[in-house]
Amino acid sequence: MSKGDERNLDHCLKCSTCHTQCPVVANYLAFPGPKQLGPELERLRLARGGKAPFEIDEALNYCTNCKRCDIACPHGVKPSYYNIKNKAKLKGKSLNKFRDWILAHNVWWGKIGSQIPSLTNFGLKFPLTRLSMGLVGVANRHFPKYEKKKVIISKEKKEKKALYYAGCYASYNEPQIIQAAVNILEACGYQVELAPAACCGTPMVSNGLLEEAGKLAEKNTDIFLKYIQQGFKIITTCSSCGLALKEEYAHMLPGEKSNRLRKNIWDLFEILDEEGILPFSSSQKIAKAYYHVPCHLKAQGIGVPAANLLKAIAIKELIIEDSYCCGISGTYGFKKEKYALSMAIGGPLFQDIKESQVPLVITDCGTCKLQIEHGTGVTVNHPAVILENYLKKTQ
Amino acid sequence: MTNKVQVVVIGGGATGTGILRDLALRGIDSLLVEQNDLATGTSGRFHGLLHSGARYVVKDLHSAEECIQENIILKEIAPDCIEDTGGMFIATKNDDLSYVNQWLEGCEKAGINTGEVSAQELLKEEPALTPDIVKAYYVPDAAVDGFTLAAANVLSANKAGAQVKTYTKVVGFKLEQNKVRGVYLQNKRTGKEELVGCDYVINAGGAWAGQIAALAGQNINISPDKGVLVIFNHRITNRVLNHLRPPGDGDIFVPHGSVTVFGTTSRLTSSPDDNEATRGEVLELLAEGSNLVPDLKEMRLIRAFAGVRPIYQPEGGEVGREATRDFTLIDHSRFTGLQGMVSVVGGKLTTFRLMAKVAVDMVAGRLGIDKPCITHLEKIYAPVPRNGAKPGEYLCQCEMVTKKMLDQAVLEKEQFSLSDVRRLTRLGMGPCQGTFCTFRAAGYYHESRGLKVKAANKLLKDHIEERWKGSKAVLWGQQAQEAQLTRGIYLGLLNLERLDSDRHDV
Amino acid sequence: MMYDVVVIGAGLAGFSAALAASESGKKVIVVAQGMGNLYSASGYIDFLGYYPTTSSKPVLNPGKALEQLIVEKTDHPYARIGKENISRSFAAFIKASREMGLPYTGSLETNLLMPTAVGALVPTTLYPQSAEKDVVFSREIVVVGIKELVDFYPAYAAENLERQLGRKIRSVWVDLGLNVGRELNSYDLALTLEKPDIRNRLILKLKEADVQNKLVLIPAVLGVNRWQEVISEIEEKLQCQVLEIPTLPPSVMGYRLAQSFKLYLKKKGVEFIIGFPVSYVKCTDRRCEEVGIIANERVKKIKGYNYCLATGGILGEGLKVLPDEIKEQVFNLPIKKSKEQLLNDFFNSEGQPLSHAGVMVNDNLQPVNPQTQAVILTNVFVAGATLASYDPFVEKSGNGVALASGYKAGVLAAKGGFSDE
Ligand SMILES: Cc1cc2nc3c(=O)[nH]c(=O)nc-3n(C[C@H](O)[C@H](O)[C@H](O)COP(=O)(O)OP(=O)(O)OC[C@H]3O[C@@H](n4cnc5c(N)ncnc54)[C@H](O)[C@@H]3O)c2cc1C
Ligand SMILES: Cc1cc2nc3c(=O)[nH]c(=O)nc-3n(C[C@H](O)[C@H](O)[C@H](O)COP(=O)(O)OP(=O)(O)OC[C@H]3O[C@@H](n4cnc5c(N)ncnc54)[C@H](O)[C@@H]3O)c2cc1C
Ligand code: SF4
Ligand code: SF4
Repeated sequence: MSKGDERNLDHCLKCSTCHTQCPVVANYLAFPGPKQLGPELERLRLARGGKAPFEIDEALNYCTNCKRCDIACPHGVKPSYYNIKNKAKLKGKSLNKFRDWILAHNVWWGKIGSQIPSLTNFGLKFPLTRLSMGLVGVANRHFPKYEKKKVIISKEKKEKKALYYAGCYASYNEPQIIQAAVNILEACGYQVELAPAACCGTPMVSNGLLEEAGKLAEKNTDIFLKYIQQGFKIITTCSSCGLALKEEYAHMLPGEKSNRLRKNIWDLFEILDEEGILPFSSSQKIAKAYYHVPCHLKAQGIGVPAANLLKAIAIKELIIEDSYCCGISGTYGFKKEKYALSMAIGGPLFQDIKESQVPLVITDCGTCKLQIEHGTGVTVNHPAVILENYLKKTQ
Repeated sequence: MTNKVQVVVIGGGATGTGILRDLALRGIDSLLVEQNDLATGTSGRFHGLLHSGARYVVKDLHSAEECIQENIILKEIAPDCIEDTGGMFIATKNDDLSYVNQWLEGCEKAGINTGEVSAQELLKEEPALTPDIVKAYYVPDAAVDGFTLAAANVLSANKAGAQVKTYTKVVGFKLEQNKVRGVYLQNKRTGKEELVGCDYVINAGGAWAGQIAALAGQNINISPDKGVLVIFNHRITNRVLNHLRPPGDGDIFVPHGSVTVFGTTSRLTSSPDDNEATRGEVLELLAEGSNLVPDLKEMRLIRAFAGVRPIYQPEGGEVGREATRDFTLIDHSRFTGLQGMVSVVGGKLTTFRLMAKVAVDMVAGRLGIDKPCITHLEKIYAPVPRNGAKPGEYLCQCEMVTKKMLDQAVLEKEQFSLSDVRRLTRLGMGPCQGTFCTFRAAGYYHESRGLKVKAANKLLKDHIEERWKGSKAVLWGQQAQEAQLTRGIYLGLLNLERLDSDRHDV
Repeated sequence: MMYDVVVIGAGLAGFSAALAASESGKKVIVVAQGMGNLYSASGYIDFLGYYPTTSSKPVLNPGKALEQLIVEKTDHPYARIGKENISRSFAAFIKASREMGLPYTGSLETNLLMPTAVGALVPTTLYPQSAEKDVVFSREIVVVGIKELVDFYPAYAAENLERQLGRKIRSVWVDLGLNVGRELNSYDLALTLEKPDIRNRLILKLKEADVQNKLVLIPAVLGVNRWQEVISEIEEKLQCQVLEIPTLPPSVMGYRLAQSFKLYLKKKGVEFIIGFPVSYVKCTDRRCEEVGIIANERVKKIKGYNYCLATGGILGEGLKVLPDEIKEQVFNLPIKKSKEQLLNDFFNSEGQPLSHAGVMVNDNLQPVNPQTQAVILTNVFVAGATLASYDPFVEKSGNGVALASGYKAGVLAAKGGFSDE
């Protein structure tokens, strides 16, 4: 022990501020919360040689990895770091393990699904498939549609190069995000390439499959670094992928490589903000919309660049809200035993959206979108998809 | 209680309690008196290392041999008091490697098992260590808890019929015809004095043994030698870490439950009561320790303290670390003709049982009792066991202390302080240093023990003061923040400091 | 993007600065390493409880004591802020608190004595309307503890209160029958009491305890967000008065204030980036040009015309204590401190010298060199626990200084264009 992030348990003063910000605590009293599961128990785990988990560690399964505890802590502790690490050490029930494995590997599902979209979509509606999902412990809810679409990219060589990493959700479920992002990047003068990398590993991390996620991270890092060497910036449009590449990879593979990587990872709107480029024209604004700040965007410490653009360009009245977690946390809300909790966590957000009476919700994260649509019935879109419509026509 | 016993033992450290137990197991009617609580002398202010002996093999082979023998016995009989962490010795590239061979030879001679381990392998298990390791060996060191040990000795002795008086100070001896007939005791809480008659006195006063002997007109030349120790908030290494070089300052780290005790120094001091660590001494230690654990200065310190070694000098010869750690049994009759008193001085905590045995062998012989020592055959147990609690029962979450443990810690005690409770339970020993649990414990005892409210307030305030004193030498970084949080709670939020001032005129 | 005012720190001082700046229509951003200390503090705004601090008698008229303090302690933050500004900050805060749905009340002319969890009385100046209850003169008091909560002992508090008030006070335990397999803190209980069935259990138990027409003192656990509903339901159903007692952290009353205040500021258009320390600054010519947070090895720069430094004290991490010095964390401003840092006595009513250390400012709250009084940065205004020359804990002035200095800093930062004086 005693290296880098591990050591930040020393900073904990036991003030429990993090505890009051945890959406799981607020909805599930038995959950011990970030202070106890994180820095407090970690000291005692170390005292046991870090080997045998405590009985209470089972509760780690309920942490959604939303990281609200990390940013709440006044003293720089990151409880979620310990949660992820120790979740990976749990044994757990074998059935749940199997289910978690399926959910963690949604990339493969996605891949197959998007090659034969109608089949998967049909299959997921089909009662038998639903039943068998129920048996392995997957909640009875709408699954993302799998879609396939060809992306059009300009071949022109430019000085500014962007490697666009779309992530699983956009790749398999909503390719129009990819097209929108590519168009925006090109309008900003970038030569764009699509990243050949696979899943970022977030679902594996949050399902406790750290070792596998680590391998994936290593592979992806090598791919990205090759591009970075050639002067590419890595662009993401999914907050969770972005956070994984910036932060999770650094935890899994601490060292020079991951540091070089994280310096070159940019959220699409973060880079526009940084470079001060505005390829948009503000015609015909949408009257009113609600911007949900994904927890994993909040945790990146880059503010809300997409929302700022939306407000300036596309939306007359934009409600920007970061007080709520939507509750899905990637694959969490797909688990049968957590479905009700996941919906309860999202409850205040759904209510706020309903009360705001907006026809449109905008958010950067694919699974947040699924959850919000599921919880409110209101249409949810990615900011890139909205902003694409406002690109200056000259291009 | 009767006013006459066969033997009075003075001093409630490891040695005294070990002696009491040995006497009791041989059926000798005995009383132990301790001026404070058990293990509040050096036995509660030491490093907590159950030596394998490896530290002494080059300088003092005899001592090393005693250590390893006792190490094996104690691991067997006192599992509640010992955490068998194992230990390691590492030499870095800046160390003199010729010492390593000498050391290996010594271990061999003393019968201490060593196992070499590659730097690479060791670093995997102990990532906090410096990468500059050139040689590393495992040894059978362990961690020992002095508080629990003294309490466990007493528990065992009590069962065999011995008595103990804590917060009772020996203030004089009743001497008749150059023979000790009794001791004058003073209750430190009430100030009351009493005389207890006896046939024999065993002075196990550690660094205070000289002062005690002086009360009987005896001269024992003890030079008090202060050693500073610091406590880190977390367990830095899983095993005891020793610097493989001639013994010096700041070369041992002992993992103790959730914390690490690091030290120590060796400085002659004027008084056995000089147990304050200074900021300067702590900083010197940290600089030294950084050679073994490079990130040491960034780690959170929660406390610093000092203990005083009782170093006995028969002819006023060597002093300080060079002096022998072997213990001495002084039969006063041989020097001054005073009958009925022996003093046990020097030694180590690791060898307390052996010291007790030697002392009791002599005294039993004089009393005409020929029962052999059996202290190595029977187990001793902690009065407040730590296991078995479930989440939901903790009052102190840092160190997992439950209400039940609080009850057990004060069983049959009329009066107690939270420090007494802490020594048996670890209450308030974690990172918050009592910030949260002190209030809880005071509230809890107020009700469960039916304390007067002023007594509960005192319990609370005294403990906060005590924790404050121990952290003063390390109040920077996180511990300075923690202190401000504590002040915020007890002064800002609770307004405790005005509670006992006069009533508000309203 | 250029902000009019960049507030560094999200404690009460930072919020108060943001409030003042946004009131004058400025574009404001709050950047903070984490949440402020309100989550640990009581939620009361203690303004000045003891003056001089060695006095055992509480200050009953803080306005009057303030006038004396301003004359006698010219370095004290209150002397820098001035009475008029303090009154303004009170008025603004009370108005905002109404708008945020957590109405506060009180005045600079009176301190109210509030019971603490050990049963002492602490003088406070501004408090939630729901806490406007007079312990000293109310006839019958019942102290209620909740078995599931480890942080409150009713008999202990009651007996000390008895000594303070000179009359008999009853105490009871109620057991809510919750069994969740972990220790519950005040926040947890406050969550559960928002649930109607558990609240009803509490009401039933209180009924058994015969609390009609009495003043019920209960740890502050009566709801995190829906506290109004919880408190008034208990009061109405049982025909009693309820006063919550602040508990050890996490503090529910502090939580309510912090959350409501933040939400209110957001609705006013204040932006927030919380979770990362400001660890980059660029200053030229005695002006701060920009600050930045370092997240994921990259600097995110934030530019403003004026800055409010409200990073808290030693606890808030605005000041860092090293073995041989104290450092201001953002601008490395010089620190005013005394040689002696710690007194032997924890409860010393003069306060700890360490706690008096901080940044010295002029009447414009601009940081100055403690020796020469020269202004160091003209567009930075310092507020809250970062300020030197007071010990909030013995004085009982923590939130008072934070509120008043924050407000003044915000007003000045919103005005902009300052020279030295
Ligand atoms: C810094 C330091 C680190 C050490 N580390 C280790 C280690 O890691 N391992 C190890 O084996 N050894 C270690 N030692 C040595 C070991 O701690 C001591 O040898 C051992 O604790 C001595 O125990 P004791 O019972 O003889 O003395 P003490 O524990 O000092 O007991 C003597 C008792 O007598 C009491 N007393 C004094 N005067 C009176 C009176 N008038 N009336 C009644 N009672 C009185 C005192 O209050 C005290 O409690 C260390 C020593 C020091 C100083
Ligand atoms: C336990 C406790 C109880 C208390 N009870 C009371 C009470 O009953 N009544 C009362 O009036 N007062 C009380 N106080 C005192 C009071 O809470 C504080 O004095 C006051 O809240 C300080 O406010 P602040 O805004 O100055 O600092 P803080 O609340 O500490 O806020 C500092 C902010 O700055 C941020 N920050 C720090 N460094 C950086 C950086 N480098 N970059 C960016 N951001 C940074 C922090 O994350 C935080 O958001 C109590 C205090 C404590 C500890
Ligand atoms: S992790 Fe941070 S917020 Fe949570 S209890 Fe510890 S110091 Fe407080
Ligand atoms: S990551 Fe989110 S769910 Fe997990 S402990 Fe932290 S706040 Fe709670």
